[in-house]
Amino acid sequence: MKKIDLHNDPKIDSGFKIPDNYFDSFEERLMQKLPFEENDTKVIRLWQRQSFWISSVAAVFVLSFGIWTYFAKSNVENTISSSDYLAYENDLTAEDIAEHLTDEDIASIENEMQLYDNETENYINEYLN
Amino acid sequence: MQDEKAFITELLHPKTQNEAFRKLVHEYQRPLYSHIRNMVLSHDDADDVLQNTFIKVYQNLKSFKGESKLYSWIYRIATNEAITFINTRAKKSGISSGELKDNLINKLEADIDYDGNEIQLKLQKAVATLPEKQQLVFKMKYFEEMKYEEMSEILKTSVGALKASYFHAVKKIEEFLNSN
Repeated sequence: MKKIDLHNDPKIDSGFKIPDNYFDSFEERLMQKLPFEENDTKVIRLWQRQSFWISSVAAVFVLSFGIWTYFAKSNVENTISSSDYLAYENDLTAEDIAEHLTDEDIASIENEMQLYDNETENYINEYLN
Repeated sequence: MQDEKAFITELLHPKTQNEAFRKLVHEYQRPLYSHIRNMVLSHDDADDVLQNTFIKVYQNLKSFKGESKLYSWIYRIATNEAITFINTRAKKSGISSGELKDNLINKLEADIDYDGNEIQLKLQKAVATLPEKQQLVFKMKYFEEMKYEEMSEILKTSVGALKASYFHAVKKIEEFLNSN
C-alpha cells in the first residue's frame, strides 16, 4: 500500500457536512439574539419633536387670543349694559332712591355729611383764616 | 472587504452599525463556521459557538482598539469561544478535554452531518492524537489553508514556531495514517 504523504498527495477534505440552507437562516437567527438598536423605530421623546414645540407655541397663541377676545367682549357688554341702564333710568330722582332707604340709612348718610362738613369747617379755620 | 478603518468606523457609529454588522456576519460566517467546526466537530455545537462568537464580537466592538486586524481579532474570539466550549463541556461531564475530543471523534461516524470516507475519518482520528496546540495549527493550515502570517496574528505565536509545530504535526499524522 502506498504511503500517505500529506504534502504531495491530493488534499484530504475534513468530511464535515453543513445542513442545507444553514447560512440562509443563520444571519436572521443571530440578529434576533443581538440587542440591536432599531434605528428605524428609535424612540423620540415628545419634547424632542420639533412639531411638539410648533404645536405648543400655536396652542398658546390660540388660547391667548381666545381669552383676550372673550374678556374684551365681556367688558364691552358690561359697559354697554351699564350705560344702557343709566340711559333708561336717567329720570331717577333722589326721592326715588330715598324711598328704598330706611330711616337709619338716611340718618347714617346725614351723619357722614355732617362729619364732612365739620372737617371742612376745621380745615378752613386752621389754614385759611 | 472595503478599507478596514472605514468599515470599523461604520461598525462603531450607531447609525451605520446594524448594516455594517450584517455585512461582517455575511463576510465571516462561512470561514468562521469551518474554523469552529474543525475544533468542536459537531454541527450543532459549531452553530452554538458561531452564534456566541458573533455576539461576543458585537458586544466588544467598542473595545476593539484596532491594534490587530479585525480579521485576526474575530478569529481569536472564535478560537477562544471554541476552546471554552470544549473545556466547559468536559468539566460538566467530569472528564478531560482530551477525553471529550476522543468521545467526539468516536461519535463522528454516526453523525448525520459527517459524511467523511474512510481516509477522511482516519485523518480526523490522527489529528485527535496531537497535543492541543498542534491540532489547532494543523487544522488552520491544512483544512482552512491559512497563511502562517495570518495564523501568527490570530494565535499570537511567531511564524517560525508555527512552522515547526505544523511540521511535527504532519509527521505524526503521516505516521499514524501509515501505521493504522
